[in-house]
Amino acid sequence: MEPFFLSSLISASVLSIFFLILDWRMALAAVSAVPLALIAFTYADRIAQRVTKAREESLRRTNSLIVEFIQGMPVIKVFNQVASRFLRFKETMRDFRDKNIRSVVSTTIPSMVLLTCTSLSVAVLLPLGLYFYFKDSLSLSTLVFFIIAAPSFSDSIAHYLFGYMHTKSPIGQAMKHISNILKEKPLHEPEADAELKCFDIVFVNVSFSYNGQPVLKDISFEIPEQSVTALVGASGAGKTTITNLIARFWDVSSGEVRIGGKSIRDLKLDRLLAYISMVFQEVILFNDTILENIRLGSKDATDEEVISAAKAARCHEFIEILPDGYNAMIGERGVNLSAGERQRISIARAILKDSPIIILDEATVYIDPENEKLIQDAITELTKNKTVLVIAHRLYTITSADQILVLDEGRIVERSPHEELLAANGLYNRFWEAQKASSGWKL
Amino acid sequence: MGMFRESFFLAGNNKNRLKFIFSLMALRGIVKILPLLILYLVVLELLSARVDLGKILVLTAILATAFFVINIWDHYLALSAMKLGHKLSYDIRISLSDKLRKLSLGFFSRRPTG
Repeated sequence: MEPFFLSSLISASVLSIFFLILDWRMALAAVSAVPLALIAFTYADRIAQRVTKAREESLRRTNSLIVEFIQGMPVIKVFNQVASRFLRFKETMRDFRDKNIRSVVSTTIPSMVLLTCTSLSVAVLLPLGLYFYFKDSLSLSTLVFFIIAAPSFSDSIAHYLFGYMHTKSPIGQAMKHISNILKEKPLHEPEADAELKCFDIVFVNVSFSYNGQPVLKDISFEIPEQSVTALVGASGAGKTTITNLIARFWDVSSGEVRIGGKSIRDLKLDRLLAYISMVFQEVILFNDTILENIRLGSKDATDEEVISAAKAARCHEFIEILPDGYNAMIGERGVNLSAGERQRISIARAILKDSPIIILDEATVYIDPENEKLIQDAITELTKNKTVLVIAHRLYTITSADQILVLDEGRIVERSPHEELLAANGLYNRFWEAQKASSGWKL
Repeated sequence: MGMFRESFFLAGNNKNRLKFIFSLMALRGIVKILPLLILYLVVLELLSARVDLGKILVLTAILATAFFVINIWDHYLALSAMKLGHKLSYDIRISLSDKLRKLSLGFFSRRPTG
């Protein structure tokens, strides 16, 4: 559309030059309606911008809601929120429908005025041309040419203004939206790439704020290579933020995170992420075969390597009894598998990736006791000879960690192995006692 | 003008192709008025003291040829613009996904999915 109205603009410009060459008085008459058309255009454009902006915002809300509605369906059903969520869904759809209709209706009258104004030139040209012709100051051929060419001129002007207005609003806004995302400042990446030989992790006076709220306050600690460090703390203490900073999902506000003695800001993002495997409580699986979902860990892995990783992650047994084995489709977000099976697939993926740093974020939190044993075995395989950082609410799973960092309101308040922390009788001991008490809890 | 600037920004490595299409579109604007000029010559001939039918026939043939060329031009342009449009859409989608990969989590927290 955009280039076509460019074409109309050129046609109108070239025609007006011809008009001027032939007869300046008639040329002025031909373009006399243009100022009126421009006024109508400015008015219509202002309205179009306003209504289209509202429509685009409504479209974005609609898209968000559709994704949320479908992804959240299990929760919506479990909490019996179908009616209320559906009502919200309906309201958003209604809003989008109304905004669409309004965006067309609101511009109809200004558009009609615009088109009428651009067509007025013939009404001015004809009487004026006849007047000049009968006064013998205009030749018949010139008059005929103006009468033939004027509609084409009007048409070009209308096509340009109308096309510009209708392209600028929806397409222009989408282009602006995309440009803004592309211009968004990315995470800093160094020019040169560096390879690491050692994989200890060091936080040096790291602070991190989100939306002006301090999340981590001047924390320093070291995770020696091939050791296990556990992070413990209440929700919101900053445990997950620490793991996110190591993977550079965020950049620190101040201080430095180092791996192998090098600041992670001096490593290319792909390189950094190649050194890290993460196992989260929420497993992301793709609607593909089990084989391909595990192969995400290492795209060049052979089938034998994938199966070997699956065996190490205690997946092989349940995969083998599936009708299509490793070629069984996993279903969207892994719906055909249990939570424990999904978690073991994600561990198999991490085993296959074989990266030197492993981050486990509440990996067994929603798992039943039977699966927990299998997953613990799989995690033991995964973390052999690796630098491991683990977040766990169930403290009995981290008693053998080399060090436990206890976080409280963004600060490290205790750091020692399990037994020493118990002896210190501090916050960790209180967590431990609370969990012991709750383990005897029953209905 | 802002929209053209955005177009060139989004075109990335395809700037020259986009310029080429825009140039063809601008030329189309000139070529499109050729039939009007030929018609003007026909009118001049018809209104002259001695009408030369041969000349009118020649002008008619030129007019037919002009329409033929304009139609081919239009189709070629539409096809090229369509191809470039799809190429740009593809490249923009790839650039967007690459960009999203490099943004901090803060970006995703600030904006809704839609």
